Amino acid sequence: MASLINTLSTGYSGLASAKAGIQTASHNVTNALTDGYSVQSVVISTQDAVNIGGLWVGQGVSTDDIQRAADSILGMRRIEQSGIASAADAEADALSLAEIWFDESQMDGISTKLNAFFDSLLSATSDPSDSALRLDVAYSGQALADSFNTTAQGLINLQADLSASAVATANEVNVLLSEVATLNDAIATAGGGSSAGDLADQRDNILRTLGEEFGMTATFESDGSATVYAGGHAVVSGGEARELDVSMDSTGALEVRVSVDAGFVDVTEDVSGTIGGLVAAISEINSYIEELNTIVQDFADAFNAVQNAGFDASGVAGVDVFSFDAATGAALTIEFSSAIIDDANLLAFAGAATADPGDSDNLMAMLDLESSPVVAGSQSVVDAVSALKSEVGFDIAQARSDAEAQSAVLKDLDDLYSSLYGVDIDQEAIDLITYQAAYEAAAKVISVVDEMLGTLMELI
Amino acid sequence: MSGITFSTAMISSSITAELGTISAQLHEAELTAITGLEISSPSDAPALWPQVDKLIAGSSDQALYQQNIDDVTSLYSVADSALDQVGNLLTRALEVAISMASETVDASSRDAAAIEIQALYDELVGLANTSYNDRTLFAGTAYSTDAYDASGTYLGSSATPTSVIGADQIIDAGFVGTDVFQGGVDLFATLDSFVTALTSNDVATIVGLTEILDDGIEQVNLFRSQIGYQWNVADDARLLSESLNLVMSERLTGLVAADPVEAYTELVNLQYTYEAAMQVAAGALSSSLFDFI
Repeated sequence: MASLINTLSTGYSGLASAKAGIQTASHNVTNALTDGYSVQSVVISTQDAVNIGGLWVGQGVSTDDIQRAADSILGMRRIEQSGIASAADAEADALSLAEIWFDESQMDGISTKLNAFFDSLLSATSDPSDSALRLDVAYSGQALADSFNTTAQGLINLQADLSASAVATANEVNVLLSEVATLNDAIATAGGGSSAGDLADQRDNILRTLGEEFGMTATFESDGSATVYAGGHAVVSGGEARELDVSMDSTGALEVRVSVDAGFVDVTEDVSGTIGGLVAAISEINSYIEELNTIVQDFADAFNAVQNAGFDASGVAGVDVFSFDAATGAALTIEFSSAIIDDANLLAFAGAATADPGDSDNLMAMLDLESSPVVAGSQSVVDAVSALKSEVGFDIAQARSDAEAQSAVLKDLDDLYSSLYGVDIDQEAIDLITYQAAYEAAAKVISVVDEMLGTLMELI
Repeated sequence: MSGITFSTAMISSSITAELGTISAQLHEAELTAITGLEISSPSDAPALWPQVDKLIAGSSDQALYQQNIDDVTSLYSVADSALDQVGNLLTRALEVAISMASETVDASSRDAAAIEIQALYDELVGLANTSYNDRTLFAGTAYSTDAYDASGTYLGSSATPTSVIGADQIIDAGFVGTDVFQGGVDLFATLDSFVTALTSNDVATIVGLTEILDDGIEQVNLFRSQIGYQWNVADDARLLSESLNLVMSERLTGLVAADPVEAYTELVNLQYTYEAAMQVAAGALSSSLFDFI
């Protein structure tokens, strides 16, 4: 028959189990709003019964483990999605900055200057010999060239800023990769229990941040460690971390590489997250700059050709109005002739060398360039600039829409994860009541045994 | 227990996300109400942007067309007035020719008439050199110099200056003097011959000149009617330009401007929604079983 002393031990096992439950519930409650925290629960089991006098007598409860509720597949899906959503966000934000250079609301964009330039030519048709009107054409042309320069410079500076931001993010990523490696070691060493659970939460939080920053993938090993991949290359394996390297190449494109034993491997095409979004945005901005260069080059060439075919106020063949350095970038380097700024009579408005002040034949040809398909042989300069702005607008709208959609998917996954593995304070309150009741019941057992022992003692 | 569990973090993040969404909408509505613009950057309506650009450029062009139209119609007015005086001058010369063609007029009367016709000749040179805004109207594209010298020699060019008064619409902004004064009838040569005939008492020539002067008057009147036609074209272009400008402005406003009433209503609604959401959020975040145990 079981002894009363043994029953005290059984009661104590209940007290210990209830205390573990209360401790776990309070840990859950205090971490209810901690990012990435997964609810923990006490794992208990019946202690093996003991055969006493032919009877199998229960020995109480065993507190086996404190388990962290987690689902590595759903967790990984969240991390991947956070990379996709961050990439879309980063791209949308970066492109929104590019849009500033195509904004006409302050009346100083390319379209405004282009309109002003052609308006000045239109005004000059009323009197091609009028020096004030000629000067207006020259100044409007200079303002147009400045506008192309400013826009191109703004986009180039933006690319550099975004590139610097990507490099800074890569530096953060490298620190985090080292932290994951360190945590991998700690998790493998801890082996289990609430300590390992909290370390895993901490590691998963970092994986989430890594996902947001460069969109990696991870697999989980049997010892609890995570292997992190970028473009199929392991960047963290157990306690070892490799480095991510981000740099801008000669074409202005961003290159993302991972250090491997033999050097570096290019993973530019494989990254997402903030760095991936910046790679995409920089590439798009590069295409805007190239399109702008084509517009400027074709327009300037066409205008110069018309100017060269005409005659200035003195009856001399027209000299170039615009000059640029195509190798450096037509939009960045285009300049309006300083000679014409100094002497607007050099504008070749006349169609004949007779120096007639009212000869506006070539001026009309210049004016026709407003609607002539001079850009890539298919678009007028005005339409090409509009189309470029429209393209920028579409890209931004699309990026914002993607960002919104991907964020919604991420929120759904987060909600699902939180629903399954997050802390419900009400549930914890009930757990607390339950564990409190269990504690009281176990204490009552001990109290009863105590009374029984007292009664027994009085009999002696 | 089965079904969806609303974890505390999930409720908190949902409330934060919802408040963020309403806050962003409120910010947009405030911006729209302040600027009065529904579309202010290409990403607001990328597909519409080329249209917006065209309307802005078109509207600006219309204003310049109207300026050019005002300029040419003023120029036509001055030219017509000058040619009216040329017509009067020729009519007077014709009257003199008719009266001097009579056999009863003596040589001294013809000498006196010759002085008057010489004065008319000089006046004709002056009228042929009429200018507007420092531009000689009848010198063609060479309008910075006189059209004729005192001997009636044309100094201008044979090309007509033009002005743009509409999309692909060009109109004369000056005239070639030889078309006006030396078309079928060379008015200078005619008056010069008239003076010579009067001083030489050449009645036959004087008789012959009456018909030429008559043709000259017709020539001037014909040119005036051509100016009148161009004037009408310019006036029509002005009406078209004003109408187009109005349509473009309305379309531009329709595309980019926000309806003030709609914008204000949207703003007020969102403000109420935001306040309500804040109260709901406060209630949701403060509800816990712990309050009751």
